[in-house]
Amino acid sequence: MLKYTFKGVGGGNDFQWCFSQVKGAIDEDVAEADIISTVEFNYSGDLLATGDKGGRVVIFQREQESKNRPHSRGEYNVYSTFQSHEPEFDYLKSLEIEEKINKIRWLPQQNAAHSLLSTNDKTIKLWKISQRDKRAEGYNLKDEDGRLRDPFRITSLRVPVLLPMDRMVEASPRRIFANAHTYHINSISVNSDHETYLSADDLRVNLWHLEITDRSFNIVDIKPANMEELTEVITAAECHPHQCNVFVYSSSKGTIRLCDMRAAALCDRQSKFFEEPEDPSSRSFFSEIISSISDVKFSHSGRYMMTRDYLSVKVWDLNMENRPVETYQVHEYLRSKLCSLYENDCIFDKFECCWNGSDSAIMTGSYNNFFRMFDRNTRRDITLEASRENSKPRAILKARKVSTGGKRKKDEISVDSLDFNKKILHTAWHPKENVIAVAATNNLYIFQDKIN
Amino acid sequence: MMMISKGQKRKVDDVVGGMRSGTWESQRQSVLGITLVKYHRGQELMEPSLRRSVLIANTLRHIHLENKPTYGLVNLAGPVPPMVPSKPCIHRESGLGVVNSASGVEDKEDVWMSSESDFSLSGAVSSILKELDLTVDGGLGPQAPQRTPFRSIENLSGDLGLKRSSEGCRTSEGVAFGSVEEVMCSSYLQDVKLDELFHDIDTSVFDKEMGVRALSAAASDELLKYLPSLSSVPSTSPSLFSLNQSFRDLNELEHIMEILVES
Repeated sequence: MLKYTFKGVGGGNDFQWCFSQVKGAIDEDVAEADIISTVEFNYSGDLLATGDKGGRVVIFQREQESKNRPHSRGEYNVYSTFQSHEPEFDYLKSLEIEEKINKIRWLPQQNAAHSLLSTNDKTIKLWKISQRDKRAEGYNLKDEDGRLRDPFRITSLRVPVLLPMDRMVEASPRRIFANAHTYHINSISVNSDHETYLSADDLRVNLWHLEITDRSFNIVDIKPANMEELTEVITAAECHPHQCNVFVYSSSKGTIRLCDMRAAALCDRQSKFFEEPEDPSSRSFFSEIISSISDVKFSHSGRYMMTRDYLSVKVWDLNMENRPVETYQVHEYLRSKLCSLYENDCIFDKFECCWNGSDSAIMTGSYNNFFRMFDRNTRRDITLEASRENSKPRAILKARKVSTGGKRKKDEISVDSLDFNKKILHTAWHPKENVIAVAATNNLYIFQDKIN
Repeated sequence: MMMISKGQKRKVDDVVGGMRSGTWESQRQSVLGITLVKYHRGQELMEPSLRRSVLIANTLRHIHLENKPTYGLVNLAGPVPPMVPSKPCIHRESGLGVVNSASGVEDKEDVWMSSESDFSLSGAVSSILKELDLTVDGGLGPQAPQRTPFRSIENLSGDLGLKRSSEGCRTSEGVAFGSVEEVMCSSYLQDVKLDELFHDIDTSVFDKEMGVRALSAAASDELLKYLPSLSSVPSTSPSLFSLNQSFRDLNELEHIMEILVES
């Protein structure tokens, strides 16, 4: 059993990842609508939301830790399920608008209810999820079944009482932010002012106020006057976690632009431009495609940001634009297979990445249901697999290895045996604890650390 | 998943554009072929992805810029779709120079010479993006009377690709027509079977409802009906074909295309 050490994370020196739960159908036949397209913990980590290709959102809530089993953390159980987006047809352009949920972002909790933003290619919706577990009884003006009582019959007054009832969770759409994006929305990000948020499509970034749905500010527009001159698109965007005037957006050419909204109304000129010079020795026909950034995430501290391109994850210091401070190879063994991956379209897969709560580790997905974690302090990395075979309760996950050389050791898997249909594109890390959620096609795996 | 043939190990030098023209060139051809297939398939997608199309278009451009002078026929190795012609144009060496780096604005002379598979590159690249502009943006975009070819590729002289004539070949309607017209023009000059170029057009698109996308495919298919008359060009001596005849046919075709697209 391979022990992997995360120093200073989770309070322990030695820990291993264990299987906790898996959600979703076991069938070999995967219904397209069930494919998970986004995963996100809320600010406390008590709620875990997933969106799928069928436009549904499923929210899991963590049960309180039981005193009987102090060593096992609370399990995540379904809290609410609702249809967020429906398929639409744009009659003007004769195009279907997919109901697939591209992103979910939680809003900070301001009262008893929870709110989140969910988006498909064109429309963003603000959903409020509230629960009721009490009801009032003993009204004066109406009966138990709601009928109004005759006021002349009322002879005495009573104070209504609250009685417990079965918990009922309701999700209702409170705002619909529509008709602001011509191209496909790839990102939404809530600002640190908790009043505004940004949404980005292939060519534009818009700034919204959460209360105002009929207009938004366009803050970035890279559409050329002549579309034939288009060579670069926006691939992801995010607000800075602390500075509400700062945001970044990444491009298909491997560049990141940091913009300050105080500088100008239209942030077409960036404040900072991050790009790593190309390594001439590794140049190929696919250099640009694999440099395309699929995800960008600020660290919780706000000092760093992380980008994911096809083969690697890079950590950038916001104060250094000319190169990343750290680069981690996710699956370098795929470099010699790029032509085939181009042919079967895998090279266009958009992998996401995430930080742990303390910014000491990062995680991203790969193929064959593998996902990778990198410890920034010890510089060690591990490859794990989300599979039904390793799904016994509290089973410790074994490290996996892909053999690249000629000799394949026992337990290793060769590159040609990898299943490229099993891709882990979406992962999420609990904001405070070592609990991770990994989406493997239509299944959601939850892993936790096991304190020895 | 189809992997690169096992015997072919790609060395670092090969892709840096070194002088190992054998393996490098064959890989270039194979990537070019795959890219053209992707472009056509991308047109049939119900959900156009701008990112994907831009990346494919840029790859086409890179392949183009990496074109090194070759001295003679190139044998294509590996799995190449039939649309890529197997022999380069015999007129290629007629002093049109060598493709190197783009520099400045070139003169837009009518170059009827073309080489290899590059004839459809500039058309393909423009078409990828124009198509998306039409479908995603919901309009015809800037009402330019003539659609200009891709600048950066246009800058390359010589065996770059087909330059359009000032009339007859250009139209602002029908994006599919754009790439197809390129093909049409070039057919008189090289021994390419036009039918092969449309092998991968899926006529099952007709079953879908008529949207812009279906229209493009329908337009292509309409075009196919006219191909037999044009592909009767004797394959061995394309240069004997009179340009007047070709222009007349093209005008007729263009007229038909306009009707189709406007309907």
